[in-house]
Amino acid sequence: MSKDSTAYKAVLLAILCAVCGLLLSGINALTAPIIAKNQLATVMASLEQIYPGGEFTEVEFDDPSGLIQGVYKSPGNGTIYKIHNVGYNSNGFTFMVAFNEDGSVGGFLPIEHNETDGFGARCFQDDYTATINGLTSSDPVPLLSGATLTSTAIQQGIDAAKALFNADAGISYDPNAVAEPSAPEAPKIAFSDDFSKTEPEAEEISNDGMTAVYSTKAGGFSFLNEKGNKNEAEITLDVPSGTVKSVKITKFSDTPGIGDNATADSALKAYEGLKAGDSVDGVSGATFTSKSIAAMVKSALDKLAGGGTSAAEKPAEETAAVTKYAETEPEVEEISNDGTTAVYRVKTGGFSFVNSGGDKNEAEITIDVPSGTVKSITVDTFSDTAGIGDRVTAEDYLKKFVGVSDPEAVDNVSGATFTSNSIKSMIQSALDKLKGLNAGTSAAEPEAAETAAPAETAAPVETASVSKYAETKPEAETVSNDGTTAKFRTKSGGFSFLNENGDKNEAEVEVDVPTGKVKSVKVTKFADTPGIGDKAADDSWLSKFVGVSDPDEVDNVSGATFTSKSIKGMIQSALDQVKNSDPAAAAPAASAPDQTAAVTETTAAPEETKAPEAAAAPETTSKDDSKQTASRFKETEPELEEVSNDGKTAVYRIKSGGFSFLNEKGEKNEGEIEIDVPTRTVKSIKITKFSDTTGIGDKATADDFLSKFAGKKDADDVDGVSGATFTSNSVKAMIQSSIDKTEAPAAALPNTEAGK
Amino acid sequence: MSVKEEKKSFFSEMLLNNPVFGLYLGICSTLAISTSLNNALGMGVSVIFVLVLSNILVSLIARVTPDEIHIPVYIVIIATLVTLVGMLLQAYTPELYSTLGAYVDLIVVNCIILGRAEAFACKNGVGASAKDGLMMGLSYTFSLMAISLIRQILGTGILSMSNPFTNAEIFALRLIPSGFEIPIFKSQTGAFLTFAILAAAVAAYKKSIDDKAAQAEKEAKAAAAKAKAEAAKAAKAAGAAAKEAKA
Repeated sequence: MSKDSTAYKAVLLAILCAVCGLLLSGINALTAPIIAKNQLATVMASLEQIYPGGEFTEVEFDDPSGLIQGVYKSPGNGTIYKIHNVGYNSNGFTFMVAFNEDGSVGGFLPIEHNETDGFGARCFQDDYTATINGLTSSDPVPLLSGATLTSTAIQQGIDAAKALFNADAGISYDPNAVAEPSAPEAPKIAFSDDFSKTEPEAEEISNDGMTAVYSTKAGGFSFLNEKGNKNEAEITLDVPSGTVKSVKITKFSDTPGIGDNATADSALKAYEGLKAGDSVDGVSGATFTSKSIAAMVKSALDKLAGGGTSAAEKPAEETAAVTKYAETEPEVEEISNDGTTAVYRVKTGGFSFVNSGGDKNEAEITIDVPSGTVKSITVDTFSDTAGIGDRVTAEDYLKKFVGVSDPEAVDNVSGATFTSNSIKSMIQSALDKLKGLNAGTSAAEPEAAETAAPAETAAPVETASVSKYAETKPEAETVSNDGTTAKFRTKSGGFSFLNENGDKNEAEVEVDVPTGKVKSVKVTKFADTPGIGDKAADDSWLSKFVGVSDPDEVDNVSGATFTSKSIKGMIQSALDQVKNSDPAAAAPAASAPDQTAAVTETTAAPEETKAPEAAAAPETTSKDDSKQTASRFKETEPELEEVSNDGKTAVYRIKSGGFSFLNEKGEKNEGEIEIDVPTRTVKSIKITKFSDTTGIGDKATADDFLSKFAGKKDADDVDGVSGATFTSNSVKAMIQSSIDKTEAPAAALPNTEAGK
Repeated sequence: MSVKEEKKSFFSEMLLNNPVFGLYLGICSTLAISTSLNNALGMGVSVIFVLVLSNILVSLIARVTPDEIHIPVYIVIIATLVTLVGMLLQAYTPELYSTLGAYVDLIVVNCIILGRAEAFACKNGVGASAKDGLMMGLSYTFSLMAISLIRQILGTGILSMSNPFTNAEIFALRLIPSGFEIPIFKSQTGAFLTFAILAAAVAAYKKSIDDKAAQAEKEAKAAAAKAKAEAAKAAKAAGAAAKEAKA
């Protein structure tokens, strides 16, 4: 065969092509499954978004429209259709639509699109996606106005998928049905919404224990937008079940023909049987009037809840409630209370305060007095971690407390427990304050009055340094004390105790009695997280305390703050024990037997040592008589200077801490007090320096308040100024300590023997 | 040829006989693909693979191929190789395959491959053809990387590479702060600009080398002429001396 013959050329080409073809088919056989797997993986990622964790198999399909690119079945879930169609952009777009096995749309997911933002792209955004997700395989797909081309393409695609799915599942439907243009959604109104803008008012007309009738008012469209009148309604409630029996509109002030859609009998019927916490469908187009009605119903329900519950069983609960948040050390000050609404300024510690000794969070809390529920919360000083704690101070979370009478009814924000507790504590303490005030004025519930002032009880008392670690609840037990070295067995809560209600850590602390310094610390029981907390239980860190008289001189172990605090709490409690035993031990002084007596006294007086606040205050040990009076105000730390005392009139210059001093470590208030010596009564008071909040605290420094003390023997004979408790106490402290002092020169010189 | 000279010739070969900048072959894919180093390397390796194999096969089969059907024969060979590469890429580097897209298939009509088969492989032995394929492939890859380096840095501000098999990033350096990139370099316009500037630079270099060579030649000529003249002079002088001696 010649090289130039046609046959040769043909054979050569044929052989070449055959060889190449064989080679390619071989490679193809090798790579085809891998390629298929790769392609499926890409699709799988999208499929997973629709049915997470599902199994998917690609199935064969016959699609006359040619829009469907793939069909994937997920057993137990449904069927997913991958669809490509051309809308506005000539390259078209790809999306997936899934039908659950019951025929409802299981998902609508854009895969790739280049439609115009604000027009076609709206078809892939939440509103329209939600519309599609709400359909079933027999519903027509609505179009989106302003995105007609794109939504038409989606409609065609989904119609093609519907045809396949319905044929497969045997669902009969009308393929030519046309969707109605979507009507404006009826507003959903929940009774837990904030209706304060509508300014609802409710007045009880009758309440026979079974049925209560309220006359209510609340602003609707007219009131909110045109400063017009409120709508009025008569609301009848079923008392035992706390549900709505009927709603009757008595005065309608909104736009006729629009707002009155919401006052139609059928609309009002929607409220029947509802109770607090429920929600109701408003009437579309008459949102304002709907809200106004809802507000009225809610105010009636609130009124019933506020008046209906018996106050008898509550106090015990409340005591428990506020102690729940004791470690946040809440402080409350009443700003105003007009009988319907009370405003409180509250501070409580959150994460920052509890864990790193940082600042407290501050908020203003408005409470609806009759119902005892929260009206609003405004957090104005936020000290916790941004991005974590502040999820709690987000408005939508704070809103959850509106209408709530027990903060525990709202769940904590996960991951922000401390800040959540801080907020709850604020609310609880404001609520307690309100309840305490009510109880106090009616003088019925002394117990409640005590709980009413969590600020006072929780306010740190500087004299007792152990209160720094109060949350660790340190306990110290004297093992031995020979006058030079005291050995204590101590317990104090660390991470485990504070966070998981676990056990406290335990340690043996040795203190050098004369110098009041730590000699040794040995951890005997470690209850915190191994590998984390034990860094603070390590000898190398503990040895740093040797020779130290204030545990805060040693830095915390980073990453083991809780355990560090626990250790410091133990040390402090041991040191406090030594200090407290000091006056008793040191006064008889020197002689050895007395020292041993002192030791027995320390061990014999556990109450005293367990309450270092009380024990450390000098008045309690030295002045039995004034113990009752002055110690009432000891947290204000009055400082007294006698200016003159001619036996008839004594003049004192005195300083005493008020709100500013106690809460913000600010200055004390100062005053000059004249006391009539023979009668031990107040002659005059003059405030020379005022450091508290102007406009609030200064109500307690006004002359008409101060003049009430004239001729009084006991500062507590005069009631404090409501809303200015701290400043009132500061003034009373000044007066009381002056009165107490006055007696001293008259009776005997040394304070220790003062007695009456 | 010393090692140094060989090295020099490798690089001058790369530049001067560069198929892209020197011969303007295979520009279509060069312009389209040179957006990132990854694409450039992927395309380069694919072309080297096809080029070396096609050169070897063509040189093997050249002697039995009649002239009239050599183009169809070469095309079948090249097309087979390209399809093969395409399948392998799609199977093992799906990400790279999706970015290279149609350009992998277009290697079939890449002028470099058919050009080298026609111009070199069919006239040379297997070894020389393989070497030529490798050289040309490397030159093509080099050009592609040069263009894509400039385009990627100017266009995106980031120089990055990733493993084409796992798609894991190997490195990513931001060289231009974001907001200061020149997006035109991501588009075809940028490809043309970069290509033109680089081609001009190569041309200028080539010219300077040619000029030097011409100069050297001229000098050599002049030197030769001088030597001739001197030789003639010397001969004359010698003749005169001989005459004198005769006399």
